[in-house]
Amino acid sequence: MTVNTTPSDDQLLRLLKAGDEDAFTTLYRRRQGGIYRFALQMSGSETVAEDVTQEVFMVLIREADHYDAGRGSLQAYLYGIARNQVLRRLERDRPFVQIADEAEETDIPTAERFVAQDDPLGNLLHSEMIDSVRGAILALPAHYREVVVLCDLHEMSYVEAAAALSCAVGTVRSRLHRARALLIEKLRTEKGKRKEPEADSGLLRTARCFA
Amino acid sequence: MNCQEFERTVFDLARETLSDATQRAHGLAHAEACESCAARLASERSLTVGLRSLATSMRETEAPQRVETALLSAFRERDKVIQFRPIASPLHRAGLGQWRWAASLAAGLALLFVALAAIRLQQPPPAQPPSVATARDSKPLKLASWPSLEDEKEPAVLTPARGQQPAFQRVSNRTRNSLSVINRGGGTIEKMPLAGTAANTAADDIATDFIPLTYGADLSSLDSGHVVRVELPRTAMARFGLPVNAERAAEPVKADVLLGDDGLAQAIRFIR
Repeated sequence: MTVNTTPSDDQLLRLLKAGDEDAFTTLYRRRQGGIYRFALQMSGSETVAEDVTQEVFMVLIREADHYDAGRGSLQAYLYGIARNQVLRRLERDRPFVQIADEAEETDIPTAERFVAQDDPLGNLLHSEMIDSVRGAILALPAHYREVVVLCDLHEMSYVEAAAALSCAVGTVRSRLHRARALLIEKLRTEKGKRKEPEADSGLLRTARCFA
Repeated sequence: MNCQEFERTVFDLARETLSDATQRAHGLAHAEACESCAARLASERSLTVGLRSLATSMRETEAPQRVETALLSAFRERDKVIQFRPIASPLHRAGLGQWRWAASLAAGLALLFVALAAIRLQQPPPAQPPSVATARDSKPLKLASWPSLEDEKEPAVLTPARGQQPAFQRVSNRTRNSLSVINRGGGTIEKMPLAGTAANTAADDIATDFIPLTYGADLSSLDSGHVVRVELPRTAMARFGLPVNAERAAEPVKADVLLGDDGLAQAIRFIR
């Protein structure tokens, strides 16, 4: 029988509060990747992601006592701080053009609006697909983007995501549903745009041949 | 399952996070029967593939090393602050017990009253500007035993049991500018010259001896001091073992606070 000697996040936090540098290093190395990727996927900026990661752990150093284990895991707490930091930066910088959330402006039921016509990512190379998805996520409104990043990219459960976002589980589910529908629409639109230039360039090539 | 119910679960079906097996089976059965919902499910699955590809492509992405370096530096700084904080406290440095914080608090309160009194009274400066005298400048006065009622002929207003509580005595011209200290440990009393407003006024005040604010403090080691007249709640006398008339408990009582060269209150005497 093997005994698991890996300290939990909460154990590391207790040691961290007591001034144990090794505990802080262990906790940082365990959680920094997820926090950095979350900030990067939310902002699209490495600079913002770096700043946010640093600030999240600075908060942990300064205010470790603020963490309440009864309200969620330490991971969710850190994501919550990261989310607030990212939103603050996005609010300040506003670098992205968001997709209009048309469902909130029209009365057309979602099921009818997002009836699939074809595969939104079909015929794309792997790298193109990744770029397209990344761009589509960044174009989402922040409150939809964060649920996609947490639930789909970071594979968090709805409960964990709800703890990180300080909202109800039902809110996470409904936002994820809407966010994915918006993503499909966006990807399909992008795919349509990609086809048009190809067709145009074909016409031009033909014209030149006749000339 | 109809199309609306299918729409509510389609993303869970595509993500394979639908825990209810029955609902999942019904959803898949509906997709087989409904062309539109089948296409919807295919779109969701395609999106799931795309999202997982993106997640996989970034799996190794981490914060640069410089972030960890900066954070460790900040952590060490915080640690230094935590380590030095208790040492910065004079009381801790002296290895004093927790009970002495109470005496320190009393001293702090006395200082507060001093400041308030100074602001409120705005007294004109004395004829001779106060100066801090040193032990070198004057001869040490005689040693006396505690409590020292022998100095004066006038009867003390309050006469608690001799040797147990400090008694009030009349402050004469000879003693008002010198320090007569009660040593709570039962030792001797040192007298030394004092400077300050209160020390130079109130020739006929009746006062107790100076009572150290810090238990066990050796006031005889003070080279010089400053005495400031303040008003305190009469109940403050009880903290120093002096009897308090319950009927006059609400009235303030005057006191002289002895300040050391460092500005900290060292001792107090009550005036009637």
